[in-house]
Amino acid sequence: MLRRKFLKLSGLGALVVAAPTAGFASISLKDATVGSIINEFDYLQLDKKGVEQFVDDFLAYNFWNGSFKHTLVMRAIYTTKTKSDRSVSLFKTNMLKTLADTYLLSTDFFSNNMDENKPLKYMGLYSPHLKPCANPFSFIHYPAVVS
Amino acid sequence: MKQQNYDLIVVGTGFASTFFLKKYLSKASKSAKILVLERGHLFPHAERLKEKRRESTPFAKLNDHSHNTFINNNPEKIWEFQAGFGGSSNCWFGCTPRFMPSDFKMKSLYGVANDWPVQYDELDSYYDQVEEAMSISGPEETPYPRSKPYPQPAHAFNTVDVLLKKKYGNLYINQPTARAKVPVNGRGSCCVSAECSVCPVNAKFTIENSNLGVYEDPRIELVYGSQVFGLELEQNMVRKVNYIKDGKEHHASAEVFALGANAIFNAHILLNSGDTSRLTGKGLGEQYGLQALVYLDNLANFGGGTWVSGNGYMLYDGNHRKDYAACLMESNNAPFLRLEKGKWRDIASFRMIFEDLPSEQNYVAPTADLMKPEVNFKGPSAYTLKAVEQMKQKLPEVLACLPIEKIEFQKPFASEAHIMGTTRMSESPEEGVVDKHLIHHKYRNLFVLGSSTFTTFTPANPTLTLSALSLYAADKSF
Ligand SMILES: Cc1cc2nc3c(=O)[nH]c(=O)nc-3n(C[C@H](O)[C@H](O)[C@H](O)COP(=O)(O)OP(=O)(O)OC[C@H]3O[C@@H](n4cnc5c(N)ncnc54)[C@H](O)[C@@H]3O)c2cc1C
Ligand code: SF4
Repeated sequence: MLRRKFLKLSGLGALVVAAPTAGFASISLKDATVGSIINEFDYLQLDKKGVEQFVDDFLAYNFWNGSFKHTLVMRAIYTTKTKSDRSVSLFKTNMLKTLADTYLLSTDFFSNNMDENKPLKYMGLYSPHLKPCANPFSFIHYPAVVS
Repeated sequence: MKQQNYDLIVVGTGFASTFFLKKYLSKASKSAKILVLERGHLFPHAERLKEKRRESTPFAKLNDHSHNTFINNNPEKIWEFQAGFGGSSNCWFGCTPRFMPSDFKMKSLYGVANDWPVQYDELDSYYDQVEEAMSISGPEETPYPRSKPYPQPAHAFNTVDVLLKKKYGNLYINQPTARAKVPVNGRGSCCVSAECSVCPVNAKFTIENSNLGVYEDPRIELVYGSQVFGLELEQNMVRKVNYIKDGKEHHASAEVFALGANAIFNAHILLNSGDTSRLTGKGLGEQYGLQALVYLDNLANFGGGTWVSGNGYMLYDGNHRKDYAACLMESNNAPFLRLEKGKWRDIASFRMIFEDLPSEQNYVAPTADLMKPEVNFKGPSAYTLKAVEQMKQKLPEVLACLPIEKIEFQKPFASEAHIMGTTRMSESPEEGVVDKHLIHHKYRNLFVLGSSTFTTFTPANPTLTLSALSLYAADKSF
C-alpha cells in the first residue's frame, strides 16, 4: 500500500498535520507521544490503533505520566517534529530513543525479519518483567551468523 | 539475642559474609554459636518481581534505600549497592571473570601502587570453590590459568564476538558469569532478558537462591533489623559489637568478629570504634567505565546467549600498565537498536571498564550522626584518565576486523557499582589495614571482609574474588 494512502485510511495523516497548529499547552501527553512515534517512523507502515494502545500501555507502566518535565519535552518533540537522530538535546534524544525502541520491540517488526514493507502490528508492551525471554536479538530468535 | 557470648559474630549477609560463614561452618564444632547481624530484611525475589511489574508488595519499603544510608559529598559520583538480606547479590548482574595473576603484582611488575600480600596461585582453589557454588558458566580457555573447567558451559557469542574470538583467541572469551546457562538449584536458564538486577527467570546467583544452607544451619542466629555502628576495642582485641535494633542500643560479645558490611560501612564501623590505623577509611574507589557504540557497515549483530556474552582482554595486561590503566571490554546484548532504515541491528555495544588506583583523597569519614558516614570522592586518577584517552585512539585498530562505520563514545558512567579499598590488605600495618588473611593488623580477632580489602582496583568485576578471599581467610584461620 502506498504510504500516503495508508496514512489517509488509518487517520494518522490528520493527526500529524493537525496537532502542531493546536495550542502547545493543550496537547495531551498521549497525543504528543503517539504523534512522536508516527513522526519518528514516517517511513514504516504503522497502525493507528496499535500505536495508541502501545502508548496507553507504555504510559501506564512508566513514570512519564504525571511528570511535568516529560510532558513538556514530549510536546516539544512532537510539535517540532524532532527525530531521535536529529536532536541537540541529549535528554530529548534519550526520551525519544527509549520510546521508539520500546515501540518497535513491542511490535512484530523483528519477528517479521525487520521487513520495512510489512504493516506493523502491536503485540503487547515490551517488558522483560511482564514477558521474559523476548529479546528479539538473542540466540533464542537468531543464531550469530557470520559468513 | 539468645546468648550472651558467641564464638563468632558476623555483620551483614552479602557475598563476603556468606562465603566466610560457609567455610567457617564446615570447620566449626557442632556446638558453635554464631550471631549474624543484618541491618535490613529479606525482600524475596518473587516480591521484587512484583515491584518490577508495578504490583504492590509490603516488602518494598522494608530496607533503606542506599542513597539514604550515607552522606555523599560529591553528588556527581554515585555509589550503588543494596542493603538488606543478601546485600547487593539481589541487584548485581552476575559478571564473574577472575582477576589476572598480574593484578596481584602491580608494584613488582609495573611499579604502581602496591602488591597484594596474597597471590593468584594461593586463591586458585578458592576461585574453583566459589565458581562451583555459584554454578558459573564459562569458556574452555581463559587468559588466566585454571586448574578445572567451569561448572557450566559457556553462553553463546553474538556475531561480533565470533569475529573477535577468531582474531584474538584466548584474549577474547565468553564472559564467565553467574547467570546460569543450565537450570540449577531452582534457578532458571538465562534467556537474555537483560534485566539482571531482578532477573525475571531467576537465572543469576543470589544469596537467597544460593542453596548454600548457611542461614538454615542451626548454629546460626540471624537477627534482622540490626544496624551495627561500632565495636568495643580493648588493646589489640575486639570485645563487643554495638548495634541498634528497634530503636534501642544492644551489645553482644564473641571470641571472633567479622565485618562484611561493604567498603563504606566496614570503614565506618571501624572509624566509629576508634580504629587508629592511618589508612582506615582511605583509598575508597572503584573502576571507571563508559560505553562505546560501534556502528557496523552491513553486519547485523545477533545471537548473544546472555546479557554480556564476551570479555575482551586486548587492552588489559601489558607494560602499558606502568603508565596507564588496564581496560576490560564487555560485549553487550541488551536489545539496543539503530533507528535507521535497513540498519536496525548493525551495531555493537561495548562497556569499556578501566582499573583505578587507590588515593587518600577519596575516603569515608564518620559524621555527627553515628549511623551515617560521609563519602568523599575527588575523581579517578590521572593513570585511569590517560587509559581512557589511549583506548579511544586504539579501539579502531583493535576492532579493525569488524566493518566499522563509526565509533561513538558515551559519557562515563557515574558508577560501576563496585565499592573498594577502605581497609586495604597489605604485608605491613604501615601500608594497609588488614593482613593477607583479612585479619585487622591491630585487632587480631577481627576479620574485615569484602572488596574494602582490595589492595588495587583491577578492571575485572570484584565479587568472585572477594568471595574467594572470604573462603580463603576462613579456611586458613580456623
Ligand atoms: C547494580 C549492581 C550490579 C553489580 N554487578 C556486579 C557484577 O556483575 N559482577 C560483580 O562482580 N559485582 C557486581 N556488583 C558488585 C557486587 O554486588 C558487590 O561486589 C558485592 O555485593 C559485595 O558483597 P559484600 O558482601 O561485600 O557487600 P554487600 O553485598 O553490599 O553486602 C553488605 C551486607 O551488609 C549489610 N550491612 C551493611 N551495613 C551494615 C551494618 N552497619 N550493620 C549490619 N549490617 C550491615 C547489608 O545489609 C548487606 O547485607 C554489582 C553491584 C550493583 C549494585
Ligand atoms: S540476561 Fe536475562 S535471563 Fe539472563 S540473568 Fe539477566 S535478566 Fe536473567
